[in-house]
Amino acid sequence: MYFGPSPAVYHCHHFNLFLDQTIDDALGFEAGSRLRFLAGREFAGPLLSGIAEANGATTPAEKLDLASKLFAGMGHGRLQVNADAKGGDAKGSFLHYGYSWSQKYGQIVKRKQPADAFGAGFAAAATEVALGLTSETMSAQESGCVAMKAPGCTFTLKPGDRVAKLPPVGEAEVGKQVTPTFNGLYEEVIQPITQGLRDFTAPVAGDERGLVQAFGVFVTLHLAGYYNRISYEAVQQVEKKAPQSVGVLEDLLRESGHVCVFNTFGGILLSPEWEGMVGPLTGEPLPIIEGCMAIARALGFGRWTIAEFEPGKRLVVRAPCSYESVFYRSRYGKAPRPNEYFLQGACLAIAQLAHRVDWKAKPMLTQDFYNALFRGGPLPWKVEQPKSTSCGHSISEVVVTKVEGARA
Amino acid sequence: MAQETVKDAVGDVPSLRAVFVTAMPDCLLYDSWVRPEETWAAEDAASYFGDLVRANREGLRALKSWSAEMQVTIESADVLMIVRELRSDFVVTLAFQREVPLGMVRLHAKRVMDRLDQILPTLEAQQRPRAVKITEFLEKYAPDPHAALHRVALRTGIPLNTLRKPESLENSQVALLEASVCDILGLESLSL
Amino acid sequence: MPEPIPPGGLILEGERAKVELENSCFERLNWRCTLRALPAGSGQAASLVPALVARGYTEVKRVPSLLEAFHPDGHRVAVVPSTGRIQIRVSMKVPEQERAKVALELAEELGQVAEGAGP
Repeated sequence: MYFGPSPAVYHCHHFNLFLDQTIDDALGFEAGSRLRFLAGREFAGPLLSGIAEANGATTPAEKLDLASKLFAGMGHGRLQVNADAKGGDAKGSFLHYGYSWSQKYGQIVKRKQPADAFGAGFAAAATEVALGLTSETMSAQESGCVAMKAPGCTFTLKPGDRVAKLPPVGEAEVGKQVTPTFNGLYEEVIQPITQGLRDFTAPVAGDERGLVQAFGVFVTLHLAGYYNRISYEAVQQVEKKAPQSVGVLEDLLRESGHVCVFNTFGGILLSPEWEGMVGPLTGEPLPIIEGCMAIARALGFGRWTIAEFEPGKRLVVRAPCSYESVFYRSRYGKAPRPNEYFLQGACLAIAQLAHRVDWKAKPMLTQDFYNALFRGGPLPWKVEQPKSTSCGHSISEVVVTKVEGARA
Repeated sequence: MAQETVKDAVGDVPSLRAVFVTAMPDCLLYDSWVRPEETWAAEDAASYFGDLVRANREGLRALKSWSAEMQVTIESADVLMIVRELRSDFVVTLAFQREVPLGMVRLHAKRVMDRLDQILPTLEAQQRPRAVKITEFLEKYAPDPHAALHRVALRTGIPLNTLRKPESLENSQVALLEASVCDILGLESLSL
Repeated sequence: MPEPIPPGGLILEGERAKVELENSCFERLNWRCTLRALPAGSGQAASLVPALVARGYTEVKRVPSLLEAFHPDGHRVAVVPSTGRIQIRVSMKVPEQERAKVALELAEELGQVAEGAGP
């Protein structure tokens, strides 16, 4: 999926927060937030340039205004940049990362560091584009954050933060990696649902705060490049400095996908829109799996297909590629092992949604529900990825199987 | 377990919904009684009351105040709880029906506590490894508890399988563990 | 910040209606509404929407299988005709700590409409 010239994807606050947290856990807050800032700045730049050109914005004021509207329209909150070539400041309210962190964790944990490195990157890129400055040279640092109980989010911008440029990953590069689509099982069910979903997700829009609250989550239209850069660079850095920790990092990258899909797809399945379109949930696993394939397609994750499904035992999902693999191939070439972490975590979550949730009881998919379902040791389902287009295989394939003798 | 049971000690108090006996200092459930119609799981709740009393004691210490008779009353929409230290080895939590007048609750609580003081044994505090206490604390209070140990493994470089056996951690690893748990929980230190 | 949502969810009962906080809605926006005058599965819920329009709501057709009516203050009533499910979405402009009360008020109004009573 593209937004203007930029590969884009919808993700919820569960994914966004858990992924950013994982990057910081892996690299330490300083290096983690630096990477998140750089990724935000790198990928927001081309988006802002492209959108400004498409909308005929020519003056700095027009471009900065457009940037603010774009940020809010994507569900990231309200961001006002006030800067010139010598720097300046930016103010944020209801920024997606900081605000949703407060909502999700603010009553459980005290936060000591700011949360909006992506917002900082976006503010820096907006300044560069508005003023015609060299891209990826403006720095932005968040000094106050609502996640730290400040009244608002504040950023300081300064020039002179130049870094070596990385190979671009935009529409042209990604386009070369996209492979032909194919059908899987139960397409006669999945395809009409996908079309219907596109109808009912189309009206979902930002509110007065610049946030998109739908299906029980905060949704953002986000830049695929941001997610991919922070994930893959974190893996590369950990491979160099602490190779014994790579497995744990990959587990947590998968968990980001797992928590996202469980909550977002679960929220859609429980919505009145779904009930109207598909009917009440029966509790049988197959309709849940079919529904989740349709949701994945409608949200721009890719054309996921059911290759095999044996209820209670095995689920095999195949896709022609993913937003992860096309990035990896474009920037780094062939991967040494399958590494589509979101796809892996998502498929695992789909199997769990199909088999472990009592849908007829109309559950509340709360944090407590999630914690209770997933605590207490190894999960009863496991996921493997035998094939990945990152590695040069012709398709990406994920296999989810029930662990023998495992709990329900 | 005492010959006269906790159930015997509370049977004649109809307004009492449950009793939790928490062994200190490790905040482990020692014994409990829950009225049959309640859906509470004693092991889920008991350790938190131990933490509550410990935190209160620290708070009082910070105010240069100390009392051997400290009792905490918790009033919520549907339950009234008395949480009290019983000697240094137990914290007893009594959960009453909400509509019972507070004065009556205190009277019942005193009688029940006196009985429990007679029947509960004197415990020799076990010296459990600090790393075990830290990982239990993390699991109780971390957001996303199912992923908490993974996060510690990633932050510290200590292998996950090693963290799953915290009693085997070396001193330097325990220090790393404690520092990362403080960071994850946003705390300056852990009162364990 | 409003009080945390209790683990068992939030349910409010009125004379004509009951509202329950919907799935994982941590901002107290979405409420499932049950009307005492309309038994579950009765198939009559769809008739609420034209009646609401007569009372000043605006019907919006966004999704084919869902009926939606918007209150002048921005609240939304959604009805699934095939199952009779009713969801009230309170306007964002209402402070969070008041949304439960407003949801019940809207539900009571729907209950009146269902009974065919006057304003």
